[in-house]
Amino acid sequence: MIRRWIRHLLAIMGCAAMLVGFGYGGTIAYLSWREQVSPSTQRILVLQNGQQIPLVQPTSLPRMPVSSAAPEIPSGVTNVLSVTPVPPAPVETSLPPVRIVIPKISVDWPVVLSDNDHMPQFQGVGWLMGSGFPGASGNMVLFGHLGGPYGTFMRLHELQQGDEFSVFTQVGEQRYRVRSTYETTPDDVAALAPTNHASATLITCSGPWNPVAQTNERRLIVLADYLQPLASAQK
Amino acid sequence: MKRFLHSTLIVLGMVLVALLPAIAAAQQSTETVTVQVSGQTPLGTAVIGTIVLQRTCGSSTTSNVTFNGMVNGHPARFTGTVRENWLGNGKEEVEVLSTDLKGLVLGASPLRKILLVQTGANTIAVDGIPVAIDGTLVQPCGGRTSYTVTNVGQGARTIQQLPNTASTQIVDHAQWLMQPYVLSGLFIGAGALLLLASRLLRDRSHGRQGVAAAQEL
Repeated sequence: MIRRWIRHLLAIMGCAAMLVGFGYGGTIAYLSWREQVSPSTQRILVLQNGQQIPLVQPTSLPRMPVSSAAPEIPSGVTNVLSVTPVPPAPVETSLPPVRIVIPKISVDWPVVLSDNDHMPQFQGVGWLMGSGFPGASGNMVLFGHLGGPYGTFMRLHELQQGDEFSVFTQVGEQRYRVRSTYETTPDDVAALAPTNHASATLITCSGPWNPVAQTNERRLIVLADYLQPLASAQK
Repeated sequence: MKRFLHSTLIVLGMVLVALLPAIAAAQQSTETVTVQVSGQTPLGTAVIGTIVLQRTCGSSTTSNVTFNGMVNGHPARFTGTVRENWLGNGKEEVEVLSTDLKGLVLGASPLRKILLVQTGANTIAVDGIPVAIDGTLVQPCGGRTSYTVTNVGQGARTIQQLPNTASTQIVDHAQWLMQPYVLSGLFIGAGALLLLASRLLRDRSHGRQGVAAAQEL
């Protein structure tokens, strides 16, 4: 009787182990196949016209400051050897942003990786996952709450063309200059699109409150161009 | 002939001596790697952040690790030191030498070993748990300096809205239901109610049987 019971138990355990083995192996194989077809790490922007743009930054391109970052030469000054800004030496690896400082609007907040589903629930600025690195080719997207307990970009609307701000990494400071500002609707994700040059996009809410959508009806976008690391600028 | 061999060996030796410092320097080079991590643990903890590995290359790679990000929307940061041993064929063993992350360290030395195995074109297994990665895992100091890691099986994500940076704190009223302990409590409660119902039914049927038996008598 006991022998029979043990035999049954062993058979059941063997079947269970085989089921677990097949289940685990099958799950791994299925997930590998699924990741090949549609990678979970990939993010795709869907524009208002239905166009889809993969959120991939051209980080392999050499880092170059854009032409608008060139210093202005005062009139009457003639003994200038070169007016072309010297591009900073390319950095081997781009580091993530850890802090943003905008002196004009008294912004000095930590920056953390974030996305639409993981918004900072503290006074911190979000760095959109998949967007560019500070100082590297691509569009670095930073966003902050308009107000409330986590408000960081309350005075973003005060920024104007030509204003400068800094984004800090673990090792250095990267400078940006505001190119333009505009307002748009929340579904206009074109502002998140990658760029071929090093740029930054700052985002916060604006416009009246929409109680149905539980958000403001508009978004304030600040576009900025990369200048150069502060160390290079001082040389 | 002998003299020729002798001089050749001397020349080869000199070339080797000249190259050795360069080889040594190459082995002692450094590499900085960033890993963007976004995912949810089985217990429902949402983790998002950037891991920066500062590697000192050599036969075994030692790296300083920092994590800067959020856990359930709140700021989180940890640092540590790891040793990476590349086992070949997309396999790597990561020994955690030190960390200020609570819960990972049990006091043994090495503190903990984590095995990474490439299981597919965009998947790796971290201690047997499948995780999505953008591309393939490259050996330490092999040139790849940026990775993205997320939960597996979600598929490519589309972004159709700009981030909601409204002033008011957005609360998903149904989200609290998905908390593991709340969910577990709900199941226990439902189970208890079902047991109670079954007991009541049994008592009632026993009562009916008793009445029927009494009537027969």
